Amino acid sequence: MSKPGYVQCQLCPKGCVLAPSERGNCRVRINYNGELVTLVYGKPCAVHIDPIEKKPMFHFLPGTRSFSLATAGCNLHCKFCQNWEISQVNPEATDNQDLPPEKVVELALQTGCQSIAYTYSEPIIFYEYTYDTSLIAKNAGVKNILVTAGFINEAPLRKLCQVIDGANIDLKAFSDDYYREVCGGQLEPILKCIKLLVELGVMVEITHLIVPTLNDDPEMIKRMCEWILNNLGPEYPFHFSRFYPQYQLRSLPPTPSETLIKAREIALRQGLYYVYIGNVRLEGAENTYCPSCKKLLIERIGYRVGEVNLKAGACKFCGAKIKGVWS
Amino acid sequence: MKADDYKFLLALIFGFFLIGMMVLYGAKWESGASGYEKVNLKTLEKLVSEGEITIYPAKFYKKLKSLEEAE
Repeated sequence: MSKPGYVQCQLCPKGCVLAPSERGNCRVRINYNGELVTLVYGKPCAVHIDPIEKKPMFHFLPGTRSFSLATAGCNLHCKFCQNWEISQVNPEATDNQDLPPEKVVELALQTGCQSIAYTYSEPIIFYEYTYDTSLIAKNAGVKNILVTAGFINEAPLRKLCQVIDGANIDLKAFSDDYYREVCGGQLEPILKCIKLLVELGVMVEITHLIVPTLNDDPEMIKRMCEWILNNLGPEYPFHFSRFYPQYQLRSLPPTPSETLIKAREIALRQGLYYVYIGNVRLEGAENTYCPSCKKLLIERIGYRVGEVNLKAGACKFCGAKIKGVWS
Repeated sequence: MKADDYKFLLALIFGFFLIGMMVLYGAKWESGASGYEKVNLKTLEKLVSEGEITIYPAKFYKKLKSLEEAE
């Protein structure tokens, strides 16, 4: 019998080449006697029921609840990670539940959740669990949402898109240097991922966490918006999110409100229709307005949804079609 | 040896030390992390038997006959 050999993971652009008994960069995939295995299938370390607005998904079944789960690990290593206690540790170190895919769907249905969100850490690294759960959920009429950094190769993403309905992509910056130095990733694969998701019919929303002094340059934000406009169009929701000092960037202050307001103004000036500010309460910055008649379509107060003026996915006042998954 | 020679020798050693550190950490940075961690399979198998983790076949990988096959 031959000795177990090297394997190369082809899930994400890191392409970890692992000798027997070595663990990949994401912490959850290892070379086990010459086979690549995952340590987190059916073993989430975080399970909650969240308002879908928390993901944030603003154009996806507003006012509904999403059964949300995560396992340990991540294929990026952002210095500002807000969930570093689970994303930057090995699965042996977290408190894991036994929750096989069919049980997840069963619980989602029991608790009245219309969707399952694969979130908090990075659903790409628990790919097999995400895919199998999504497939069962889809057949049961429950929608699936990825909350991800989008650092994935094309083949696995194409397969996953067959069962995914929505995705919030964390576009961390519009700079490859930033991705390499602050997150341990690359920009280009993320952009490819966003384009492919849209091409394959997934409802995409984009979030940009503004970290003071690191990725708050108005010129960079302008280029980011231009890219969205030119490659996706103006209809995909864009969220600016406030940074709070976390993990390895505790010395930085929270993002000033003025920076967030200015970023939103840039995005709207560039022509994006739906631009939101999150992680901070700013009057009207979470509401959806009709790009045609400018009237209020969805009122949001924190994670709570107030007035809704949509009729069959269109503005109740002028009839303009609004991008989203509304039923 | 003169005092200047000692200083020169020390500077030379320090220079080599710095170059060594740059090469070492440069390689680690290029790999995207600090190399790959070796895991203790016995410990993992024990955790699997206790229901803490799983060992489940992953998708999207290839077996390499040699390191040159890596993409």
